[in-house]
Amino acid sequence: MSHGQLPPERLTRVTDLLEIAGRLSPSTAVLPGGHRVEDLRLVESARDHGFVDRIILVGQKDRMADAVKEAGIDVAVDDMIAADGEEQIAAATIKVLKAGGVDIVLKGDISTPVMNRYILPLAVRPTVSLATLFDAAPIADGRPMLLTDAGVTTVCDLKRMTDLVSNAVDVAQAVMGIERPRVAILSANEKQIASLPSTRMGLELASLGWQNAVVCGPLSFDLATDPASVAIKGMPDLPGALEVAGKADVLVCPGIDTANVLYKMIAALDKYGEASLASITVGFPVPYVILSRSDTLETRLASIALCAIYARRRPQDFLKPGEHADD
Amino acid sequence: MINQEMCRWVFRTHVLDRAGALTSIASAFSNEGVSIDTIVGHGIEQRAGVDGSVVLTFYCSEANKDKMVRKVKRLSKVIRLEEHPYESQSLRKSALIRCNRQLKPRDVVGETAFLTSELVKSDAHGWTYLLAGSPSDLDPVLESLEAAGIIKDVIYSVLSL
Repeated sequence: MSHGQLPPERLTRVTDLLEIAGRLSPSTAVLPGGHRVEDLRLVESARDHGFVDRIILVGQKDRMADAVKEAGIDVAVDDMIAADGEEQIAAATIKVLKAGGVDIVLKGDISTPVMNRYILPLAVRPTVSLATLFDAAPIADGRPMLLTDAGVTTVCDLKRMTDLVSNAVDVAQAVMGIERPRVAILSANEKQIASLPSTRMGLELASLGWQNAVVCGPLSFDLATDPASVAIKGMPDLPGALEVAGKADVLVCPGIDTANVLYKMIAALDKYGEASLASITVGFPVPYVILSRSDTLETRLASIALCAIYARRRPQDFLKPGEHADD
Repeated sequence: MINQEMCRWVFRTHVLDRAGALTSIASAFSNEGVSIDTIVGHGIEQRAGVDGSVVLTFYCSEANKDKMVRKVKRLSKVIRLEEHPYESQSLRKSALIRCNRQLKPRDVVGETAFLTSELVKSDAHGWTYLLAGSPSDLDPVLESLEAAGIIKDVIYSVLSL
């Protein structure tokens, strides 16, 4: 890593994100649509854990004041920015971001398409993507892995997929403490099948000469995550297979639909108590958390912790706001 | 059919780094909306980084208890977890109480057995007793002594396995 810091410790459990984030200097979070009590209680919990200190709310004035009162949290008057309507809330949030000093954006009670329309011009990377950190008892003996992209990138051509890998590798290095992550490009088969385009994509991505990661593809899910499956089926005849097969740190799905189904399966395991997960949207000047009310409280809190860690340890982004416009 | 009856449960966890384990266990319970009644850390050395145990009690349904077992077992600082119904005869609870009169044998009859009762001291402040037994025997005795105004104060009460 090029941060001039000691490399971060290796992450062993997603739930440890809270403790790790709490040891770093606390973040400032802006909450567009910050007039929902449950969101305020969530950020207050993040403040209790020590990884958020200042909270800037942007929302409808009366609802925001009522929510702050009901949640019983302490927010400075200057940090409650009144705006009426979703367009105005999004615009006011962008103004706050451009003013600087914010480390994390947490999407509150505002529609995702509206917020995304305003925030996308600020993207500092060619592709904005969602990376989900998870551990699940039935998968890979419960060791943490990254999954991408379950919710943001819909067009998965070679360029986009290359960017997804780059974004995920950065998160793996900064948060999981893995210097050279093992990346599996998932497909339904490890052989080249003409009617299965993701097998060709996997091989193309793996052949790009990655310096900061070992990339192998195409790999089926079991061959990417389970050493026992590799032992039974045999080592795939692919570049990087010896390092990645059965030991992948990053799972790159061939498309958002596959990734989303996998994400929802892990979320179901989480609700049963057998998994934990946290997500981050990478590619903006600051990490962006798109909170879902169907996510568990643990997932939402862990996502803020993940963003707080990434905000402190992320690599320097390589574009300036406004230089990107192809999404 | 899932049993949703609310019961009291006891977890005893063997942990690494008691301070960190207490935080992560409390956080896991809080995130699931299950309130912890009591939580105690035990260990010979009172410093972080050594093995020890954390004992906690809480109320919830059996299904929620099973979920908390899975959640807590997956925490990185938890090495082992034992779960018990609060009524389990394998649990022991002791209490040091100060009374305003001497206790009589009938004062310390539990639901299933006599409690262990030992007079620790008597002085101008009253009679101090150590009572011990299973929680399901000891708790009702403490409640009835309190209701009868016999207990002046409970100096401590502690659960053990």
